Amino acid sequence: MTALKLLPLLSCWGFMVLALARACPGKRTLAAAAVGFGAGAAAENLLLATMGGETPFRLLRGICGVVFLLLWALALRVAYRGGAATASRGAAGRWAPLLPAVAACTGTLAGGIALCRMAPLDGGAVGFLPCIALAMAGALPAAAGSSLGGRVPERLTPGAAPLAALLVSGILFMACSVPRLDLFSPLSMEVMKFVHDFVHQFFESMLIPDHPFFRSDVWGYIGFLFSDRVGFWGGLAIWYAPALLVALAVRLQRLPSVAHIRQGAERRKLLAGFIRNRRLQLAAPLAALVLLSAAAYRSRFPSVEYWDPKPIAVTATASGEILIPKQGETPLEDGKLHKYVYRQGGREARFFLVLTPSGRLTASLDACAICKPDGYGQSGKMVLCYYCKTLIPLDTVGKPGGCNPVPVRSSTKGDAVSIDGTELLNKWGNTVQETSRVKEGGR
Amino acid sequence: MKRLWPAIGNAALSRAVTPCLLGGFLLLYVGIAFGSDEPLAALMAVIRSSFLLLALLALIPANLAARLFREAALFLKRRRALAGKGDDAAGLFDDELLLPEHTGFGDHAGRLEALGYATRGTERSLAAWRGASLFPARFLLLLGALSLFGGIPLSLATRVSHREAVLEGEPLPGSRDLVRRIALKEERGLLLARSLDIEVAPEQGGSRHYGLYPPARQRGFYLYPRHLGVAPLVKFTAADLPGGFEGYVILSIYPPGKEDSLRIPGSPYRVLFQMAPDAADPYLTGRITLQFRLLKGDEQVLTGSAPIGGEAAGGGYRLAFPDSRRLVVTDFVRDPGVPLIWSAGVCFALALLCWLPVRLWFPRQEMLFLKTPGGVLACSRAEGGRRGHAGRFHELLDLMQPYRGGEGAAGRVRGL
Amino acid sequence: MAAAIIETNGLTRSYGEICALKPLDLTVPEGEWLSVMGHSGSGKSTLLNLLGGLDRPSGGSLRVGGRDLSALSEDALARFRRDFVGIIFQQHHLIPYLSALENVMMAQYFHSVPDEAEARHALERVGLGHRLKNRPGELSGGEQQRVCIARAIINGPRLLLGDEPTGNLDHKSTVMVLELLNELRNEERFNIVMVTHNQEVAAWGDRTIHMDDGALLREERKVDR
Repeated sequence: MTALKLLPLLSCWGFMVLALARACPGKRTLAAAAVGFGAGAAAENLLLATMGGETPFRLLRGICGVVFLLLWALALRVAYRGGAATASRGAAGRWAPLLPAVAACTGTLAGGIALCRMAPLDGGAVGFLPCIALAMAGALPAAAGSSLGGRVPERLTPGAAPLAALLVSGILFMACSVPRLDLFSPLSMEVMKFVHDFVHQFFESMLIPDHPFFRSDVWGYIGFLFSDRVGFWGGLAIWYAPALLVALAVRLQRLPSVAHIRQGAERRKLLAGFIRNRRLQLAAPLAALVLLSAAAYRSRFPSVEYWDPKPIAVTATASGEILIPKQGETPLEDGKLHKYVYRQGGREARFFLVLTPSGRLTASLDACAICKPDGYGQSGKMVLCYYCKTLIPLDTVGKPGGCNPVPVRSSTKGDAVSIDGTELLNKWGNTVQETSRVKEGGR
Repeated sequence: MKRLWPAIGNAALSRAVTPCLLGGFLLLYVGIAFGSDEPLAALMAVIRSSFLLLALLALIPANLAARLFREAALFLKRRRALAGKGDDAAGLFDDELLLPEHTGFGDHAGRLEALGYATRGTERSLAAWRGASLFPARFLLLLGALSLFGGIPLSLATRVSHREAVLEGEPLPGSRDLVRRIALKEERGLLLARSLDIEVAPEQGGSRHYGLYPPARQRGFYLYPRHLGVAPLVKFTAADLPGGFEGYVILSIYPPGKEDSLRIPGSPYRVLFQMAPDAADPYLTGRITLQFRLLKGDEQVLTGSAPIGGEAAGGGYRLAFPDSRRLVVTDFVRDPGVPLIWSAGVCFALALLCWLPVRLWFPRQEMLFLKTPGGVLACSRAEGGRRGHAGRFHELLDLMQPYRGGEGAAGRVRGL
Repeated sequence: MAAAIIETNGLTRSYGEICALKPLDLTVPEGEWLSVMGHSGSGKSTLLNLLGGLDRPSGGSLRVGGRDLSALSEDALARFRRDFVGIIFQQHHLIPYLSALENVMMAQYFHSVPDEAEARHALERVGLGHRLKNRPGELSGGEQQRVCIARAIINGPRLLLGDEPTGNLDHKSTVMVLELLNELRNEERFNIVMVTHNQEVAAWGDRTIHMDDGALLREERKVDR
């Protein structure tokens, strides 16, 4: 089971090692990659053992975020300079001495991420033997890379920027395979916030009239900028942009001057060789795009299984009270999420009841105040927001703030939990993003 | 000091300045986003309050202005060279090659003309060109960027805004000009579905109209209508409220469904108002019915509705709305950056309109052959259709210096 | 003595039991126009195919331009044909739906990249500057063959092979084509090996070899024109 979980990550790592082996043939680079992988796995395991909680994951995710920003900076630089940085074939030349260090750093990140994939959801470190096994599994591609790398045609040797795009994309794919290291979902959220803020500020700064004055069809288009889909599409644009910029820089590289050559066939041969090399240099950024797409997919559809029962429809009494028996068809106090949906007068609210580890039976909306209401799933003593992938300990469910599910007032009446139906619907209408933002037009 | 000025000049002209500064501000935004739910507003506030950050932001338009002048100078220098007036064409073209002194080029003007080039020959030069230059588009782009990045710090540093209610029958805030009438009309335009007309009688006589967009100015302030509302005359009586309450109340309750409240001063009473929806827009027709909920503390004591000119009573309470005036909650904004930012948009649009057809259908292609002390300088440049133009350039060089089989394929090269 | 562009030593080619070319020792110096004469089945086309890298010898050695062709891989042989050899056939094999200019550019495309200006210049060089846009069906036999010449020399070959290039032409066109070849040969300095059964055409070469039944019978040196 663990091996199956790690297979995509290790395959991606193997692909990255192959690229490194082709870019800088030789045992030094591959050895650095293998050692880095083992060191990364060990270091992350140490952090899990000593720090615990979310800190080791946040640290690693932060580093991945910084690496992504650095890729952006590199991509902008090569695109701005018109591809001059990638003019030389292959990563040889002035970048070659740095490649072992790059391989070691990449290996460290990859090892840390792979270890996080094995980490128990409830907290704590991975066992010693599994950690060793992981380090060995990471070293295998490095060992194989030295022979396989030589079989990759030399003309596919990636340049510096394309190699960087490929390696970072691989890291991002591995990170997005671990829900707690996922970067794409938080990026989408931040993009959504930024676009909402920007459009709001732009309208205010440029003295543009309010939405009641607009034509409804025009406002429909503007309304997209206030919707949650803008986060996904905007996030995707930012996600892909560095690889696309590198590909663009490669594609827009100027052909060398051949005016000094007097024979036409010689000139054309030189140009044809350059065009062919330039085309082959696109292989790495295009592979990076594939990895980034896979990463976004993994982020949206994580392979981790969560307990997520279908909501049961409930009704209210004449006085508007929802009563749910504690010992009904399924006992409420079994430590699992129990989901319900209440509909009244064209309005709907989803909520769940769960017994926290401290013995409190809490009622919360199946949504938070920040994210699109995709709901929550449970794994052990944690619940996960499906939209932003934040893991929330069950002990904090019932407390407001952040991405916690919005708490709902409930009381015990006899052997049942009692919730006010109108209050429930009002709470959903007032706090859940999808409804409140559309009403206000994002303001 | 002598060496410092060129270094400062190079730094000022560097293409790296703007992206580096923008990258720095982006990092600042990312940092702020970790601790704020409204990072953009927070970033704007931080920049506004820091002279250093404003100064850094102002470096961007300075850099763009310097680059604009530099590129314009290079463009004019190249035009001079093509006109046969310049002595030095080095560094102005994409491809440059030094041919032997004896190389003749004067006979090839006809051939170039047959290929669609315009030519100009002098004793020491032959220039050929075709297509239109992209420089005007580039100029507009840089000018637009300059306006945009000049307008942003100006706006951040100097924007002043205050929100007032503009009420029918009352003077415009900050002046003695009387607001005669506020009218909302259905007027389907390109983007807007309605028009708003605020008719004002200036102190010195006559009539002036303020609309939605573009916002008009009054004593240096833009009038920016935000919300529509009504100011009904509310008469409230209650058994435990001697004297009751009477007065015009400003309520932002448009469109129907939006809620606003009135706290009766000196009492525990609060009234929540909404505009009742109607088949036709009440604001347009003037037939406004107010729905209300009277709260005493947290307890609702009366609920009902009444049209303007009517009243509602119950439980010892009475609410009447004998009169109402329309109002517009308006921002009065003084911001010298706004026209710059809008100009930027116009410049960008014009730049695109200039660039697209020229780049697609008649990009600029140039050749220059110039006698210099070291030999004949052959130069070539193309803003589009590079391969085809390069082929014609090489063909001309082959005619000037025919290749004889068995010779080395390379001639003498002057690197760029 | 000029360096040899072609050197064969005991060169043979057999197709099963049929020996199309018997052991042949031949040296062609740089710059020479060699005519190859013989009746059908004499082995002249087989020799041409071997010299152009279109076929592999069964035995002996074959060096063209300093390269041992029998030792080259398929890819290397293809590159050799692309860079070193130009071929003109009796049947023109021009693409009928492409113009003269496009036919020449097609040869550039398969060599490296097309260059319209260079192709136009090559056609002007063979006297067809006014017929660039015409398709082969709109050209006379001699004009078609001149397009073939432009196509054959556009990639700067060192060796031009002709397999009865004037076989379908009338006398006037034949002379025009041969004069053109001679001019180009002197300017561009490439070698010509031309197969023909016509004595007058063969007489344009610097040397003629006669073949029969796959073997070299005799050779004649021609008086300079």
